[in-house]
This record gives sequence, structure tokens and C-alpha cells, in this order.
Amino acid sequence: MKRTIIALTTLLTLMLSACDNGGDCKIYNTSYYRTLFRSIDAATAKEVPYTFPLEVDVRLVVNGTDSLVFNNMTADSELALPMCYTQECDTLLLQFGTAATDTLFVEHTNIPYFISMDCGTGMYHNITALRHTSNFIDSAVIVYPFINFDANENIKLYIAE
Amino acid sequence: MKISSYILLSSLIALLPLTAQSQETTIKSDTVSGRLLDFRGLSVSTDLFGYAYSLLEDYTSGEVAIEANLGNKYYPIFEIGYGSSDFTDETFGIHYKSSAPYYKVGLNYNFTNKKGSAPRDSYIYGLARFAWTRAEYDVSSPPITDPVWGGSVGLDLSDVNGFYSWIELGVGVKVKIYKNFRMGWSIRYKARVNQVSGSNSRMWYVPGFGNSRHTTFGGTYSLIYEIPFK
Repeated sequence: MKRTIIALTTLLTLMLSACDNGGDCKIYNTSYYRTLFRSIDAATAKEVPYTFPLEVDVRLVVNGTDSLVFNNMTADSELALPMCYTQECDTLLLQFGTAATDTLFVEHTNIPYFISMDCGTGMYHNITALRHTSNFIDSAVIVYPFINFDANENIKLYIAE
Repeated sequence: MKISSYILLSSLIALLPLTAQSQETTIKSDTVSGRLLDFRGLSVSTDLFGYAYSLLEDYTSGEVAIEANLGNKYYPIFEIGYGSSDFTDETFGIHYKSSAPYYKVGLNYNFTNKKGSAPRDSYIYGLARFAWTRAEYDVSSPPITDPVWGGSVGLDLSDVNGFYSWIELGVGVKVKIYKNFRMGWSIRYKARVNQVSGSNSRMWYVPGFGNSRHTTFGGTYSLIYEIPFK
């Protein structure tokens, strides 16, 4: 009888803990890719966050249809941008102040995804390649190619000092 | 939560005659066998609760089992079932279809009997199972619209291969109803062990498990026939 009581108590505890709705639904089901700015310290040859000049605004044109201006960019600044569902290459036009302009091409695949009946569908992406011009961008690296609803760091842009 | 309450209430009701009976009956010890596998017989059963799922959930299933009796104490069991779902969600307009067999192996442990003692008409048991299914599924949805850049992309997947395994722990009751026939309830806690889905989707309905979650619970209502062995 003692074993029965233990078993029933254990099962009841497990059932109460089984109130998992299976849903990891996100409020905003749009996936963003995150780009960090880095530079190489000349003295130590190590990677450091890029320090934006205080007076410089960063202008950003994405896919030729949107225009954003960032000011007061800090070393921790990052770009979090949504990818295009229907194209396989997104184009970023980066302009530092009024002088240098560089273009970054982000090639990617699009992954329409069924999450669940509770959460519906979403669009994930996979970055396949990066190309860029080199006025102030030294190099571009894919850190984590898969883009879903998680806040991963996907791209590092190394800025020439 | 309504389902769990119903299962618990019904189990308690099923226990009432068992409690009364255990007070009245004096169990005579059978010859206690020292053998490790003290084989006493086989029984076959079918789960009727799975058919009722179609009234409560978006799927249905049927299941049969064969169980060995070792010393009226241990009952190794193999269960095989078939589950199906063909459901369209009203909120998102997503359609999901899947049907496949599933398998469970495990053990029932009789809490009431001592090993080798004479069988009781009714008893409470604990259960443990390892279960798995390999299912193909279809899923389709209305086009996914790009909220920023515009345009839309369709999602229409067919014959996606999925694999799912899980464990079950629970308790049950078996009651003799007529000669070699018994009926029984069980309630089961289920926990996922492993899941393999397609690159564009997750399994949503898992035959034998229910809707894909980390943990869930379920129940069975079985009709059992004990095959007489001399």
C-alpha cells in the first residue's frame, strides 16, 4: 500500500508539472539578422568593438527601398534587420557621414517553417555568402548563418581604422 | 484539465470495489516459485479510450496489447497502435495530416500482489513504457507574407519523415468483470525523449503521444481477455 501511495503521489506531481503547452511562440514572429561592427587593434592585433566617431551619422539603405539614419552609434551598437522573404540577396548600403559608402551583399536561403498549430508559421533564413565593397569595410565574416527568432550574432563587419 | 479530472474521478470510482474486496478476501498463498520467470499466462487487450479522443481532441487512435504474467507480480507488455489526424486550424488556416503506427514496450508492476501469490480479481499496478513512432506527415498553410519588404511565400510540405520517442510512467487499475474478462483504467505521464522532424517543420501530431510537446499526459480504458493456461 505504501508503494501505491508513493506511485500515486509521484504521478500526480508529474501530471501537475506536465502543464507544458508545447508553445515557444514569440510575440513578434519576424526573424532578424544581427550585424556587429569590429576593428583590429593595431597594437595588440586583437579584435575590438569598433568605436564610431562621435560626429558621424551612419546612413543605411536596405534593398534600395528603405533609408535609416543612426546617430550616436556606440561600440556596442548592432544592426538588427529583417531579411527579405522573396529575394535571395539583401543589399545594405552603409554610409559613414558624408564621405565613404560601402555596399554589403548578404546572400541567403529562405526557409518557410511550420512551428505548430498554436504558433503558426514563420520564416527562417540561412546566410550562404557575404560580398562587399572595401572603402571602409575591411572584411565581413559569417558568425552564425542560421537566422530564426533567437537573438544570435550572425555577421561581423570589420572596419578599417 | 477536464480530461484529467475525469480520469482521476473514474479511477477513484474503480478503486472503491477493490478496497472493499481486499478487506473481505483472504489470500491464500499459491506455491511460491523460486524461478526468475514464473510464467503464469498471457492476456490480450484493446484500448477503447483512444477512439474517444476524436470527441475531445483533433486526432484518434486504436491500440492492442499482449501481456505476459510473471508470478502475478510482473507483467511485461508490448502495445501496438495506430493513430491519425486530419486537422485544419481555424486561426492560421494550417492543414496537418498524418497517420502511422506506434509501438510501446514496458512493464506493469502489481502493487497489490506478492510475488507468486494467488491472483486477485482486482489490483492496482504501476507502469513504465518506452514508445516510439515513425510517421510521415503533410502540412500546408496559406502564403506567409513578408511584413517588411512585401511579397509572400507558400508552405506546402508532403510526406515529411518524422521520428518521435518518449517514455510513459503511470498507474492503473484492473478489475475482473466476467470469467476471463477484465477492464482497466490507466493514467500516464508522457515525456519526450527524442524528436526528428523535417527541415521546414516540426511534428505536430505524434501517433500514440498526442500533440507534440515536451510533456503531456494521457489515459487508457482497456478491455482485457486473459488467455487460460493450464
